[in-house]
Amino acid sequence: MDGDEKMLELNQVRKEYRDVLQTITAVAVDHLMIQTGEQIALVGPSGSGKTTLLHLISGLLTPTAGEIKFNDIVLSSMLETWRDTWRAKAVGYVFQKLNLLSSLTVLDNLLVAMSFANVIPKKEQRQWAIQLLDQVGVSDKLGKFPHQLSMGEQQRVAAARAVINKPSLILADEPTASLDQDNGLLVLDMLRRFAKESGSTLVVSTHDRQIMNQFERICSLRKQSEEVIGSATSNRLA
Amino acid sequence: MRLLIAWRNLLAKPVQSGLTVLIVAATIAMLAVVTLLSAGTHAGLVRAVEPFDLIVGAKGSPNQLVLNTVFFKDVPIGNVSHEIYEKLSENPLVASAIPLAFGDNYRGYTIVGSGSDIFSHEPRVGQGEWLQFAAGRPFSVPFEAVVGAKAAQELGLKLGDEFKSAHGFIPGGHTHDHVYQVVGILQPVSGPYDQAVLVPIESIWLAHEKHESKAEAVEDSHEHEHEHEVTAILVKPKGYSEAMRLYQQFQQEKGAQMIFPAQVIVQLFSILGQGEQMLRGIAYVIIVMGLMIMALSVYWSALGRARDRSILRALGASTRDIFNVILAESALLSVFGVVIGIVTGHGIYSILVNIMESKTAIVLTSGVASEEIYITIGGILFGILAGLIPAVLTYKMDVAKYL
Repeated sequence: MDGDEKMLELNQVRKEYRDVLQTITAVAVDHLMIQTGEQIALVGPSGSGKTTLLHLISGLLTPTAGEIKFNDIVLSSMLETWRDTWRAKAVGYVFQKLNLLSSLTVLDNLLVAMSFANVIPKKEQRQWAIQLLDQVGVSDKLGKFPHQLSMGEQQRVAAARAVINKPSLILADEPTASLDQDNGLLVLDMLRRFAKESGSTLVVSTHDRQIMNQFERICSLRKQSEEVIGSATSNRLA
Repeated sequence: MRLLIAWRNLLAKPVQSGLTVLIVAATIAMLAVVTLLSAGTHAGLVRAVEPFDLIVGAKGSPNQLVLNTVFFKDVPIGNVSHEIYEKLSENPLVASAIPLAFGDNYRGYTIVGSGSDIFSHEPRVGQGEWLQFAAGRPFSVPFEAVVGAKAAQELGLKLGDEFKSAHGFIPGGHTHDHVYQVVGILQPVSGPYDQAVLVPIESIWLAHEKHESKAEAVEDSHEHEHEHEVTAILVKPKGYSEAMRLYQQFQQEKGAQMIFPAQVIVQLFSILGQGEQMLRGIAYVIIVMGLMIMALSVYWSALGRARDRSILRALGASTRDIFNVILAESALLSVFGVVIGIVTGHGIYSILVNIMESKTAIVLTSGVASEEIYITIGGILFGILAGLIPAVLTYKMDVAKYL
């Protein structure tokens, strides 16, 4: 791992939504740089734009203005299909709402994620998925559907799916929000341990002070004004 | 994996998917039945008239003559003189002339009076006799009977059994005094003659002679006219040109007509064809409606799965992957619908075959009609095409909105 290597760079990034009456700025970031292998906490109150920022970093959204560079490549300049492939291979995402596919079993949820990335050889995919599910303690639930699992188990499956393709960037959106403290810390610990072992970069959004205190670097987003809902600024506090 | 996702998406909405498959299956089954019926009826009718190169009968409707002589339907137009039969037998253009006489039945099964040469009649040279024996022998003296395969089965007749015929074409007529004895049972010919009871033509004459004499005794009428008359003559010409010359010759004959049964059947096909085309047209319209319903179903399903598609996109699926998943759903629905439809169509058709066989004596052919292959391929292709509509309408979406 090269700790000084720049992985992500955001410059003058804004995401705006327009409707008839007003323009809403969901997030505005002047400058943010994240090194390879770095683990940072993204903090801010509800509505400060944390989720939008993670969507922008993952390429799910494109910024209205500014640019986001991943290893010096501007994401918005990529063709959509390249961005899809890049996201499949390089990004692991734990969503706030978990977003497991309800019609697929636990094992298939992981296999689907692998099928789009094709990072793991096909023959090893099943074995690797089972191994990972074993590590998070749900290997006895392979054939179960998400609704048959507890919230904690679902969270662990979501975490396993996020790291299944050994991504270089792991994004976690409020990974402990819907869990009790023990389960939340367990999942966070798993993500941090995996990121450390594989040299991946980890960006965790949270408003939980106990969680953010575990990170050396904390970036905060705050609401710019009460009148224009959703606007946010960024400060680098490292 | 895309196929698995599509499959699981369908399973997640079993009622919606099941009903869609049912609609596609019903429309395909309808078209399959129409197609099979058309092919089966054509083949069945052609096979039924195959042994009859030329038929000679009383002047009147050629259709009635064919229906009566070949299919035992409708009443005979009338009789022709035995002299005509004798003249035809001696005609150098004729390979064989076989007299046929109708007028009696046994429990609703037509009694056909004929000569014993009917058992050596070969519709096509080298392909063997038309009527072959499963048991027994041909009749040799009056009041011996040879029973068709189905008639023997349905009537429970076996060699040595005896029965009395009744006058007319339906059960319940006057019963003749003469007793017939079964001396032979035929192999199935997959045609109306499976339901025939063949007897020497002299038996018919003798039975009616007595019957007519009794009537005459009561009515004190003059000598009956039925003696030595035949209802129809099955004529086999020596060849095609001989057939045409014979036909020309026979146009001069005042007391009888000569017809090509195949020609009558072709006319019948053209009449049937109009109804068949209409049915087929209706079936195509219903199929289009079925496919539109399928497209709507997939569209609704796709709309309801916006979140799932967003998740897939977030996991790295391209818009093309999403497009393929939606298309795969349509493909799966149409494949199941078409396959179930074809199987159901065959099931309905086999029921209709049994009904047709018992009601009309036309044995429909079974098997796969070549058009079915087009229906199967076409049904699946159009199903996939119908799936393009929801796929195009829904594959692109605001991903982040649903996450």
